[in-house]
Amino acid sequence: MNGNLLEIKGLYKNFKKSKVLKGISVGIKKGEKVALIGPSGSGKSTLLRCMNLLEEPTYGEVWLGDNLLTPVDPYLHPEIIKSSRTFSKLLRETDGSDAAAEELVARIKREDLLHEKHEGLTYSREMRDYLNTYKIDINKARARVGMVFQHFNLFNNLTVMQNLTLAPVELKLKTKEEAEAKGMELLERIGLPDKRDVYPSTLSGGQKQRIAIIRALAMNPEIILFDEPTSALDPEMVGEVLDLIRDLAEEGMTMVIVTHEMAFAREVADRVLFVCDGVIAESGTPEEIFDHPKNPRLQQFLQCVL
Amino acid sequence: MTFVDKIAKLWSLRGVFAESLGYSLLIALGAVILGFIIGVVLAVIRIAPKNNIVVRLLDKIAVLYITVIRGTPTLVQLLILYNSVLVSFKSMSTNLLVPIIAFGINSGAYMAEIIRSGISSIDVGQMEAGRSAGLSWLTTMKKIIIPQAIKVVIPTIFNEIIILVKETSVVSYIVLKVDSRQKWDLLGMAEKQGLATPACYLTFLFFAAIMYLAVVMLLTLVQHLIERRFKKNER
Repeated sequence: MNGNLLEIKGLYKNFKKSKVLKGISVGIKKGEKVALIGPSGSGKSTLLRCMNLLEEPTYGEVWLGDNLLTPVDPYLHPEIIKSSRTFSKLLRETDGSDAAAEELVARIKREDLLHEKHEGLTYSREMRDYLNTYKIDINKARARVGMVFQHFNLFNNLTVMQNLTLAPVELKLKTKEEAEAKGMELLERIGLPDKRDVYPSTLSGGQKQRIAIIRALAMNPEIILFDEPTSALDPEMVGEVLDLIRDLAEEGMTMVIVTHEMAFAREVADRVLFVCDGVIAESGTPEEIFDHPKNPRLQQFLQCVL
Repeated sequence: MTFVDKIAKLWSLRGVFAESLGYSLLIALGAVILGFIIGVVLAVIRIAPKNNIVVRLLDKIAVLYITVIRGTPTLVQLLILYNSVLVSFKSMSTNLLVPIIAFGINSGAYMAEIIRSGISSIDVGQMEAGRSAGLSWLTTMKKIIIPQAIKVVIPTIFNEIIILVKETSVVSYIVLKVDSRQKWDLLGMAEKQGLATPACYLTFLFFAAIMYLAVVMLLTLVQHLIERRFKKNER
């Protein structure tokens, strides 16, 4: 891989008839902080949720380091397209030249002509090796990717400490003692060690979200995905959550944040992606995006939110 | 016979009535446990993502099971099982398993729907949080979703248990045996003693009614204690 910790290639996502993501490719490097901004309904949350496969992409591949999380997308591999029945059938209608074959590959891709189940796709040996080498169990991959939700989603039937230790212990990443020691250390870090044995229903929104963040940290993730982490909070609690995220950013954690907090995106992000109508309409440094926006939709969007 | 005589007769039979109440409760308890296990399994199958053929097939079987069991009278089910499928249990010297299995199968269908509704009521964010931490669907179900769902459905589950306790009275249609000796459930005993002493028949029936009522009131109390305990746990 080309040094990307997380990479998305040719991602499309359809919900029934509606096309939410229409061809997104993006790579995220280790230590990079990427902010996703855009109007509501633009697909930025869906894009984030595709990064750990909470949403299954319709087409496209998601890579975590050297591991492929999605099925192989035939459209991204000309050799797979060429192994399909559709290709051999359509090729007979052409002169069979190399140029015609290339044109046909592009056409199949463009017009979405593969119907995988009926294609009898034959993978070459190289292709099979490739699959066996890179395909990874999705649960193993997700354990390496932290996720923080808009509505916190702490486990309501478990105490704060059990929330922090459940996944590391279940997945045998840590013993119970190790997990609790780590949990205590994280609780002390956010100043809530006295909350270890209470249930989430007794906590404020800001406390819940900070615990949700350290729950992600308890897994020692390689990257954390934040899905509008402050949108469900009362205004006076936004600050404490943003402070914690900022701390993590300064420590070098790789993160992708979907946010409506433009000032925060500008301050923390290395790169800002403006998602609009299911594509990345513009991307660049915070200065480029916020001070010199080129895309008219972005200019319009910034006028509304700033 | 005066009222006092009838009560005296009832008092003299207290031992056999207590024993018969014991069988009623034993059958109900066994059926509740079996029904609950069947219910949880069926509910999980019904709610599981239908992404492979095995799950889809199991789901079809679960739907058929629930439809048939909920669509036919309990007594008919009991008699059919007693005379066909469970015929080898029927001939055992102790055949209490027949009504336990029959009522358990029956209750399982109702419990399945109750528990499924409880699972559906849990915020999808709970499952997403579990999955995104790397837990499997089944682990998240076991550790997070089902414990929360059970709490939601406790009142409805107790409703089903109460119905089940009373419904065990139809076992008087079959012959219960313990150590090769015939035994009766509570209602069966009231009928048997009523035949022996017709003047006391109504008294025995009232007595049986009061016993069922007492058991149900006790169950209601247990339900409230459990609900309160759950509430305290979360504070």
